[in-house]
Amino acid sequence: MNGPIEALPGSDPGSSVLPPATRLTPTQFLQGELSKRSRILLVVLALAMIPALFLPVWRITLHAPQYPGGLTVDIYSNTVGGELAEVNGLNHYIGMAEIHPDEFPEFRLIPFFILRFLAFAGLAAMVARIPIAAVGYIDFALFGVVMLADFQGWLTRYGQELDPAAAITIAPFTPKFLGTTEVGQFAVTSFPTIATGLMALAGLAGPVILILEWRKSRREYSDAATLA
Amino acid sequence: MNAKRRRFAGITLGVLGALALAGACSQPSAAGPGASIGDIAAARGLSEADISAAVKTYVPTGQFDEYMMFASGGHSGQALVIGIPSMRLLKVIGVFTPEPWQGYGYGSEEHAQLMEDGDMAGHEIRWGDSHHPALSETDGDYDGQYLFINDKANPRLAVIDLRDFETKQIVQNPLFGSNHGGAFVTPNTEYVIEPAQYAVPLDGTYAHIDEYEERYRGAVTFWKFDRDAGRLDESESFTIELPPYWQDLSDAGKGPSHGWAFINTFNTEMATGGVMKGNPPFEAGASANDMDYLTLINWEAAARVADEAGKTVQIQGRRVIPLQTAIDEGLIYFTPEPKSPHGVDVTPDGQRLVISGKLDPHATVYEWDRIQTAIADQNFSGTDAYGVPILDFDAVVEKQVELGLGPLHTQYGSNDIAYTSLFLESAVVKWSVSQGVVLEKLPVHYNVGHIAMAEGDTRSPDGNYLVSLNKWSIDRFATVGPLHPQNFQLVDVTGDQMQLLYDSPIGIGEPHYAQIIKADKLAAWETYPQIGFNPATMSPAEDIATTGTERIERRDGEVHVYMTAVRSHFTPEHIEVNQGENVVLHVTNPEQTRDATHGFAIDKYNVNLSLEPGESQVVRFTADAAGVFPFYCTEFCSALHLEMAGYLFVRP
Repeated sequence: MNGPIEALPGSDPGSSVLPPATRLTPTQFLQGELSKRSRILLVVLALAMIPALFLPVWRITLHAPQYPGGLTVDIYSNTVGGELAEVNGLNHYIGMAEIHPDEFPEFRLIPFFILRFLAFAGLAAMVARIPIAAVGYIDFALFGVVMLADFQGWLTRYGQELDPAAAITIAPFTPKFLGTTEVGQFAVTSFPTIATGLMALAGLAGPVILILEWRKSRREYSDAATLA
Repeated sequence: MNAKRRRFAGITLGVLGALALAGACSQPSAAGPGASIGDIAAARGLSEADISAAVKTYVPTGQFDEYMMFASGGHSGQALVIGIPSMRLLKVIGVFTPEPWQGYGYGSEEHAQLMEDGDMAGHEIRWGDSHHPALSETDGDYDGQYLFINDKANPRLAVIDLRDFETKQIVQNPLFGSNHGGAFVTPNTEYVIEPAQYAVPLDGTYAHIDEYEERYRGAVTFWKFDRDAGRLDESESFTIELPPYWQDLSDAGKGPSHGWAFINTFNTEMATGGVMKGNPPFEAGASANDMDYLTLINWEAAARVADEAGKTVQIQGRRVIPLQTAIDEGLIYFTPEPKSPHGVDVTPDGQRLVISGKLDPHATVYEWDRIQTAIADQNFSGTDAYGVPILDFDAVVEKQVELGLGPLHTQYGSNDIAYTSLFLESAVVKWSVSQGVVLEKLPVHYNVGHIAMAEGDTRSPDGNYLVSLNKWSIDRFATVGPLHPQNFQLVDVTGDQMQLLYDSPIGIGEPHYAQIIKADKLAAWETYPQIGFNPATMSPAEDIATTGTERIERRDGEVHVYMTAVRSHFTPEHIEVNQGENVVLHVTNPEQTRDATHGFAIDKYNVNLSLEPGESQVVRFTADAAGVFPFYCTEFCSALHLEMAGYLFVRP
């Protein structure tokens, strides 16, 4: 599985007089090559981002007696779909601003970030460099955290900035980005969907790759040290 | 606050305790949710058969009926939609009569045009005596696309589109003075058959009754149906002149008899009535002979003849094949049938015709092969007074089966089993067509006219449900004054014995015929498919406003108001016009949610629209009355429905 190690850092023949290092340094680790296993995993993750571009990221469902199937709003990487017209219609009663997908700059950024991760993962798999994978991962993880915060920010704004002239006056509220919020006869549930699952998979895979690679490098390093 | 809450809790507990005490003191309730079936039945005095009937008809909330029955609405002029087996009334479709809930005939320009197309003899006709609904067919089976229905009183036919269950067209037949035997369709809905009933001069002029035999005529019109357009095409339709007998029900041949139509006639005596002139009344004069004539018409050949130059004449702008031409071209034959016939019902395989003469206890079974042979051999017993060849009765009749008193109308179950209504006996008789034996009789309540069976007049009857359309209910329902409801009785015919399941009162008119279609063949829309949809053309409406483009424009001497109706507001809410101005409202419901219908009614202006989700309507009126007129939404659309209103200001 693992290819022969030609030149481990620290095992340079020119410095063989020094006692062999007993620990793998981070620098040495980052200079190492990605294993084939990790490279395959990166390709899989990169490919998984393609459906994530087109599948819903988040689903908000409004449950009420007169909507037996619930009213769903699906958030995609680049737009909002589902029964948005009806939800906007209902929201006007409490003075909530209408949701118009074209008013969110995020919908131009999100696909770009997903594609950027795809590119980083693909490149890292191709050239087998750990730093590229690491940069791509950090970029994507930060993006994910920022987006979740941004999502909650929008929900808070919609819930808090109610038009006081609306037909029905209710206390401003903060819809939860995850979980259930009660508003009048509606129970509003908000949960991630398949595309988020795919992205979360990428998020989880990062540390896994990191640990696997670290262990592998350390094993190889100590093997090489023992041989020397 | 806490004290208040405690007090409330105390009151609640007290009330609950009192209720519990009252419950303990009263008789144990058999109707409680926890009661056993046996207890409920005992308390309500229900037999095992009653429970079985109840279980067979009960459709739990949220579940749908297996079948839908389209029944004529009789004098209401409408068509009824009823679920089977629950017998729940689902809809009254406005057809010949204005129907306010659907906004049908109360302001919509399209509906006004539709109804004006049905005005006859200079009269505004706003009712109908709807008799016989006919579902469109493909290969002799219902296809669930269209419904046709006739108005007997004023000879008209209507077309209903089963995508939105709304009337799309009313056509009139100026040649006739009443019609009865329509609507019946040919196996691929090529034509809708409309026979006349009472003979009149076809040219619409006056003729003295003494000229009855010379000037009065019967007739049958074959209306060409343009399925793509969803309309009857008058220019492609044709009429065949008939002797001045009175036409009754009809049916289209199928399978081997495809291409032919069969029409019962009565008053072949050509009685002219006139009791006060010393003549026998019609009831006697038109029943003097033992036999009337079954009319057999080759409509496929007639359609070709109608297209040939010189073979038709124009009467009141309609193409008519003269009787002599029809005889010469071999389009028409008669054969005797027992007098006062009602149904002529083709068997599912198209091989036999069953005819019931109400005054003869037999069903007379004609065989198609024998009819063809008799025509080929010119096996005639003579001609009638107008020269129509009469096929020899014995040559074409296979058998006569004694069914009981007053046989009226036959429907089919599966496996060769026929069911015939017995008007005089108030019963339905089950019998075998091929063996000619009566199997069973079931009393019905009372005076049954037509019967309808699940797909019972198609090529593939389902043989499970029968509905007996009874003319009298007498003692079946609580008295609601001297005008009693009709009684639709649902019968289960799946077992060895027929079982009466349910009585359904019909309090809107006297329905005549009904057809029952498997519900899954229908594909009705839940909302209109696009915002701004014109149901009259079944296409996107032009010249409308949708959300954000509402406006009022004055042009060409008219005030055009482009409106939307959305929960829970109209835009605009103020319409200001001057007295005498012509107002055109273009109102759209841009909603797409199921059931989010809005009404639109204007105070004292006789306007009410039903704007179903996506629908667009145009209302045109002259603001002739000055004043302030509220308009409002007439459908309880939302919690703020009452607030969904506005004002029409008409300045003097």
